[in-house]
Amino acid sequence: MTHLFKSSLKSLSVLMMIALLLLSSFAFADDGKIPQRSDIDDQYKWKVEDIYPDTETWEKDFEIFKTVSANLNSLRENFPSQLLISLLS
Amino acid sequence: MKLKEELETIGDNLYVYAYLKADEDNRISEYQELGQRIGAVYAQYSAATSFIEPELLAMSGETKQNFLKSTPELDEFRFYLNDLERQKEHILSQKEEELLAAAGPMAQTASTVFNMIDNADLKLGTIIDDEGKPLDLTWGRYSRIMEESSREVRQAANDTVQVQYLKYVNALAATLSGSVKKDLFFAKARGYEDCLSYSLDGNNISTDVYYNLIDAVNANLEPLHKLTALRKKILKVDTLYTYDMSVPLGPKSDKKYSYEEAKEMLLKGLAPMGDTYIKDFDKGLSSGWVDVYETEGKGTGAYSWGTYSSHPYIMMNYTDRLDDVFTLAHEMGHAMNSYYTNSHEPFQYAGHALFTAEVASTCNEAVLMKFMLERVKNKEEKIALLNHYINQIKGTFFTQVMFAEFELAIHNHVENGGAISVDYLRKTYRDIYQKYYGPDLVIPENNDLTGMKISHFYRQYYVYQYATCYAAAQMLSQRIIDGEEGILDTYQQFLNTGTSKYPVDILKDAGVDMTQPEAVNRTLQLFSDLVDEMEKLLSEG
Repeated sequence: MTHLFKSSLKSLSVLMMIALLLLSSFAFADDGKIPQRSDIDDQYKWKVEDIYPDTETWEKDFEIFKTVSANLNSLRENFPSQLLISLLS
Repeated sequence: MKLKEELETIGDNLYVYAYLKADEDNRISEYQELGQRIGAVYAQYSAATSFIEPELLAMSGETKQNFLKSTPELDEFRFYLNDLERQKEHILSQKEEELLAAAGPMAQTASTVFNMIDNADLKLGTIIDDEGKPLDLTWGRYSRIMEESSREVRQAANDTVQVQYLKYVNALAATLSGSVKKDLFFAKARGYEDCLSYSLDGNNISTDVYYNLIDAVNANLEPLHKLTALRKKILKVDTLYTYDMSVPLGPKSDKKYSYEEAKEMLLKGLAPMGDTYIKDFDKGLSSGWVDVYETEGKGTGAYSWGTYSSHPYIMMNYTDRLDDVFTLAHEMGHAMNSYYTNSHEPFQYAGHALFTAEVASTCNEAVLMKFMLERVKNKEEKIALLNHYINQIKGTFFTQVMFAEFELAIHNHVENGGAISVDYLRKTYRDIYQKYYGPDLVIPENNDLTGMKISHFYRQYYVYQYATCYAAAQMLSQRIIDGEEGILDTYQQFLNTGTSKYPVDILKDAGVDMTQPEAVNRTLQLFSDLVDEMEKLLSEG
């Protein structure tokens, strides 16, 4: 059954598997001289703030997602076919 | 925008933000909490929308076509719906489907128990390292030891780990056996001939692809045997053991590559991939895609990740080694693939099936390798490059085909009514392992437990795709380097495509037919040439 139904997180899990395969060949620092993140110049860091500038903004979207997800359940129970169409179009 | 797409984009953004931030420094618990919160809500969302596919499946063909016609926005779902239709003969009655769905969590037991043993209960053990200090083994340290430590330490690490697995050997055989029986149960329940047909049908892949791969490799194991013999000669050992197999051959090269140098090498080395590719690649490198250096508390390894609406993100732990340069090329290959797919495919087709996912990443590595080999200045560096290249083909291609053959053997065994015992698994693995690496390798007593250590086997028939992707990428990279007419447009089209077609067809459009043995044979020929070249270089003294 599992392979017939695609989860929305499928592409994420595929990438995670790819990372796993690579893990085995990675360098390990054992000497405790690893720098702190604050020591690294910003040009060598990814910009996660391009997704959300800060956690407050994350919280706002989270509230929306949480509320809609909770309501979807009751819509699904009462109006399955209408919900199907409104989700897909 | 469609509601589902809009919601899932928000959900993915929430999820990826939490996990990327957590990976910056695992010691900060704030982001772990965000991750857990969105994980829980996402599960709720998935449960609430899980009715969509059964609902669509339940529609008759005619109703579905009418549904498509009445709602033109649904046109982009046509491939997806037709794919559901294709698999219809394997869909059971509603009652039976409910029963199978309810058995789903129970069917995960073998895999869950394996993971609990492998990740929680089993400790890899402690050894004394080359400086005489005790060292707790981790997989990261283990692979470093196998490449760099003295023979005594390598042997100690190997024996220590095998003994830990030996303690759980009966449980590990039972979980693997349980997993294969689960595969067979679902294959039979859905009316498939065998587990392989069932597994490959999900992506509409012909079983010929699988059999061709194994047959072609079996017909060409000679170069791998030759490499084993060469290794024995170069390492000057009376008996060559499995823990001698990862040591680089020949003089050591300690050449360092700073991150800035690596970027420059990539931009030059990947130039054959065309101006557009290089321009976007360069822009990505300077737009906050990459988290470069190892820092305290940061996640390990490397990966490429992101959402439909975000740019790609690349986790690196860059330490100036040659391997790191290729890892960057590899992850940038994934990132560029996602970048193009996200801008060309509608939301629901913007992912990649594994059957195509490793092509873009490996193709970058192959193009870069060919560029570096052409320009290499001294013998040490050339040997270092050949070591890297040969090890890559060994690890990504041969080992995966060997695993694929083992998986096929144990599934066939159960399909034919056989029982999976510890002895059966050990002997089967030992025979295949010996066949691949040849008579010069001596497999220590407990090194035949490896077949019971691989977590990927709990996703049946998964790993062969690493090998097919490798072969496809090699073929494409050669055509790119040769400057074949139209290849850049063809390759761009490949990079733009996600899951809006079947993966075998996507590669066929790019000129690589994986139902034929050509691509696999080319990789085998390449490997043979590399081993010959290595032998020549090393015998020059």
